[in-house]
Amino acid sequence: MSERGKTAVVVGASSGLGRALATALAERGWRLVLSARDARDLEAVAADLSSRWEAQCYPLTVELANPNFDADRFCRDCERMLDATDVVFYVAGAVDDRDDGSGDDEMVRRLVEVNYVNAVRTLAAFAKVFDDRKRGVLVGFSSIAAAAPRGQNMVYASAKAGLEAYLKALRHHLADTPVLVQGYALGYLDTAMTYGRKLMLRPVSVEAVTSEVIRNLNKDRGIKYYPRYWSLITRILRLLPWFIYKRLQF
Amino acid sequence: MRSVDARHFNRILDFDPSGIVTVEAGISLGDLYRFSVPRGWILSVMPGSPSITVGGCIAANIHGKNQFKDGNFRAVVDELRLFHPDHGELSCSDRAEQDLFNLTVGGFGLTGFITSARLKLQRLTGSAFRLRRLRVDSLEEAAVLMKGLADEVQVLYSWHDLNGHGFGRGFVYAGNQVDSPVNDSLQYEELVSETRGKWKLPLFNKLTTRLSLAAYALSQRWSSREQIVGLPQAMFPPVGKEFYFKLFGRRGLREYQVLTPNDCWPEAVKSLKALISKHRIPITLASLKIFRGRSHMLNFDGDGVCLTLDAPESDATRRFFADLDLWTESASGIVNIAKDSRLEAAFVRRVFPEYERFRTELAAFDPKHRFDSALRRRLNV
Repeated sequence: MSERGKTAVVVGASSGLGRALATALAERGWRLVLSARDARDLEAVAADLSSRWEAQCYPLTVELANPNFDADRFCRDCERMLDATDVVFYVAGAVDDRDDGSGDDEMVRRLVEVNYVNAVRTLAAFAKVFDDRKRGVLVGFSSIAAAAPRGQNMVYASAKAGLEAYLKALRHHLADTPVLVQGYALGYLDTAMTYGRKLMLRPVSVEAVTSEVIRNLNKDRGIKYYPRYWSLITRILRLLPWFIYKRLQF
Repeated sequence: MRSVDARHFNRILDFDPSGIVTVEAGISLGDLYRFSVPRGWILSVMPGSPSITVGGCIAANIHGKNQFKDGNFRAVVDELRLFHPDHGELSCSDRAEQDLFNLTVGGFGLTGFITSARLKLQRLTGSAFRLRRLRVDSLEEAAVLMKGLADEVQVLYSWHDLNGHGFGRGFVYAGNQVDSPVNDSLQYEELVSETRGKWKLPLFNKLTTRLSLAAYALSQRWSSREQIVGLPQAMFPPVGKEFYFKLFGRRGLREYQVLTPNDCWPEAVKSLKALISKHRIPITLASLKIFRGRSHMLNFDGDGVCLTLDAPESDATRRFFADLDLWTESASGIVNIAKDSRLEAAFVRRVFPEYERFRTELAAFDPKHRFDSALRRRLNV
């Protein structure tokens, strides 16, 4: 495979979309830094990928809810392990059932930290390195919630909206360089986050998202919705007058 | 009370080139098959469905294609790790914590969450199976024939038509791995309740059953007595035949699986024949396997003849199965608890000599019943 030898950092690699991405890349011979919160879980993913694909995976445990998260140090550690990073995927995210107004300050802090603050800090650290090197791809993940924030998951929706704005701004900043900034605003995914919930539209498999992401890694696409139909739906949602929007329950 | 879906707990933690693989319990047999076969290894004890997980195999201590030779799943488990909130994470095997190992293997998940298992794989000696088909005229003849073949073959089972005249006529299938240009990959459709029950009406009744079984017997007689079948087909016979289960419609089917001691078998066959003609239930599948082992706890294990019967779900079938329970008892047999959701505590207690032992040891290990299930409550263990 011509992809053998490429390197990537997957932040949020132990479950759901992150694990699917890591698996697909490992299968293609990429060398990976896998990052997540739980060391044992992460080691199991690394062991799995190296058993199945003989992949070289470096587990790196980080706590993204920690305000003392040192993004520069994280970036340096990854660069050291991989020699040079080709792609960064910030897949980590956090949701909370109490994000409907019933949560406490600690919950708010954690959701903002994982979904926005440390996402931006991580991407910013790598962006500098990629800008200097004139090479690299930065990939972030947002949600349809960002386009239509509702009372069910307020902090999450706003954090994702903030992340989307940062991705767009970063892309603008790096527009005249070969460095690519990509984002995927995702609809319902078939993962632990949506497990057991009744949703209006069928959740999409993480494998489908993974194929889409990998297929488009070399393209300067910016931020896209996946599946595509969400683009139309969110456009309509954004245009709804308040007296209709306030009654939305989905 | 929570249910845990462990399907993502399916990682391969280690693979030793000597054929020892350590996996998380949520891994499916199909997934493990796809990993091990290209590397020249295979699990010697596997049930027919690739969707079953390693944890499930341990919990039911399932049997495979030739229990007589290879034993139950326990035989391939070198060690397992178990988590229980009151005990923490424990390792158990034949060498250490053997009591817990015996309680967990065939313990229906009631001792805790199996986190990982170290399994002993078997070297693959061929890419396909040579399957021989031998005609038999009765269930008794099949049992005798199979006992004679059991030590030489890797796959051994029989098929019979119990529905009309010629009760018991059928075929014995015996297979061994061979080198062959046939090198099929495993492709399967997972059967879930939503897809299985799509056809509302059951298509199996007395008449259609007799016709389809007769057609099957005929198709078998027309094909050659020896066939090369792909490895996936030999290891997972129901794959590709999922329509069989769908033909039962929404209501589905019931299966009765019973292990009868060898010396009781001929008498048992006679009374079985009388029972079937009395109830007039269509038996859509009748199959025999030969077992060797020792019965312990609630395991489906022992010396004897294993009979499997499929019939469409209905009140009449349940009455028939209730009579089969009495038949089992009088033949000193045991039933497969994992197969029959209709079994009652009183019957299981009478038929399994170690019922009380299982109950006591489980209560000592998990007195608060932190791990609970409908099966545990129904059987009152």
